[in-house]
Amino acid sequence: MQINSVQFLLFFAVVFFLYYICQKSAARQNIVLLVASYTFYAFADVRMLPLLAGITIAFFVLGLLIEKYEDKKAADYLLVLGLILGVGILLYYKYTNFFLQGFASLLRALGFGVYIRLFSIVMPLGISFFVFRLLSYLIEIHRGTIAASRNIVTFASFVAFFPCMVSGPIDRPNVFLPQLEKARTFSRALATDGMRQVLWGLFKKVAIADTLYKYLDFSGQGATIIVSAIILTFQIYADFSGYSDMAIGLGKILGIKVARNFRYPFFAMNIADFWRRWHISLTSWATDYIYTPLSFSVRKLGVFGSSLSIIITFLVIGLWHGASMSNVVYGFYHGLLFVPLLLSGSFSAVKEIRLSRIGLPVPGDFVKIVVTFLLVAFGMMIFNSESPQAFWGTLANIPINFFEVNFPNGIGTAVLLISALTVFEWIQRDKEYALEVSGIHSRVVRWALYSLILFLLFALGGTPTPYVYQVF
Amino acid sequence: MDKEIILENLTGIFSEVLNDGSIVINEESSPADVVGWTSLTNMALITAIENKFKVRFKLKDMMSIQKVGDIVRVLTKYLNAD
Repeated sequence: MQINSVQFLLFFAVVFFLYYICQKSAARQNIVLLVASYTFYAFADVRMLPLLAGITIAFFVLGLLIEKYEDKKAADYLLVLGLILGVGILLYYKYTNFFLQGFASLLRALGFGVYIRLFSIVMPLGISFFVFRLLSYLIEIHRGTIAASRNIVTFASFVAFFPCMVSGPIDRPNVFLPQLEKARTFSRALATDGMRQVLWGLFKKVAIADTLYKYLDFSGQGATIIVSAIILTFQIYADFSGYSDMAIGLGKILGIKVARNFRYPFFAMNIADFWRRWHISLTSWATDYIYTPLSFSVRKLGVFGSSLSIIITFLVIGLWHGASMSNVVYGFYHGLLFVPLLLSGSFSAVKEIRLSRIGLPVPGDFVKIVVTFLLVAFGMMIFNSESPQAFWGTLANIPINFFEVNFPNGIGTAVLLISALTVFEWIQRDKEYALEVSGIHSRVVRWALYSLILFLLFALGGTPTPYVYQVF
Repeated sequence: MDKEIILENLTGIFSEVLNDGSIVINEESSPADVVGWTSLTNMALITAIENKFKVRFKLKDMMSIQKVGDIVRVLTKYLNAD
């Protein structure tokens, strides 16, 4: 059941009705949420439901035990057990064949004639997202920042919260669980805001991402590839941030604050700034649970230790996106881009864009924004390639007939959509999402805007494509 | 070692690591109001503090540090344990 389908709309309407019938009782609301989330999951693949339920129960028990043993050694062992369990499940379902293939290639390179039979493993939907939620839960209990949940229904609702199940955001227990412990009464203002954000997310997915998808062509030569890389970058952004907006909006309709996942990433002035704006819930997760402990353990090595930690962190982020060498190279590439920032000390510096008198970035900052975008677009080409070899092949085709931009059906619509999105986001960059127009007092103007978005959504919406991040 | 001496030493360390002789800190100072105290320099500060006071922080200690007062608290815990 796709989140942008009529089937989902009907499903959500039923959930909404039942959820607010029980608005005086947090416990009953959570039962509705859990049943809805497991039903949603069963629609995708009912065979994987026991795995989701099983790992949820295991982490619930581990959480209670870690809290019970607090500062004792047993708590450390239990945490390690939880980490092995979570990472082990992730490795098994996502990476078994990848590592087997890598191992076989290594043996062949050493002169051994080996043949490895790969396993037929079905990857559970959203596994990368719910396992990361579970891991952060145990780590936070061990760090003493949260208390273990005493209610399995509440905990399971957090792990499987259906709007965020397929593509995140990766919510943190310290923010999410307290919300589930209180009854959520219907708020018209919050629900209106949520619906507006769902509309915006739907528009980005259906009208922008699915339309741009048709223009992608990496089989050509010259500047056609560069233009395709730019379109690809916007396509992935519209797709993924569109999903996130829908998930956050649905959360608001249910009275739940879901973690923000994007903050206008294409206005970033360096790569560190970009990652503070792109897939925020993943990068903040990786910062807290991979980069910080790693860099802490090698702190004596100074900047070298920090560089090593950031590269390892991005290798994990790359691999998190999928079991392929392209993702390893993608992660390594982004990790490397951080090194000059670490050496220059501008790694954590948060700088506002300086504006000229006409309200646009001053030339220096504009150049930084463009350069950062091009570095990101280059990375997206790696991310999108089937293999590093295929990427090098595409790259080698760029100098051939460089000035021949060849798109048989033209790229007018793509250019128009990208330009309109960029201008609209620039104007609205201080808002949580670009269609946040509650500040416009005239109801006529607001509804004219919603109508235009709806019209474009139906006019441009054609062949639906699966969400890019759904496969993670 | 009492709080005042710890704070005095910390001021020296902050000045040296952040390369700013005019730094003034108190227990309420946090990365939000100390220029240059970022997630990266934090690691350099922790290392310098460990060397100066001859203690070895745990990851848990570092994660609990949100302001200078937290550093004082963690240091007091270690120094009093000796």
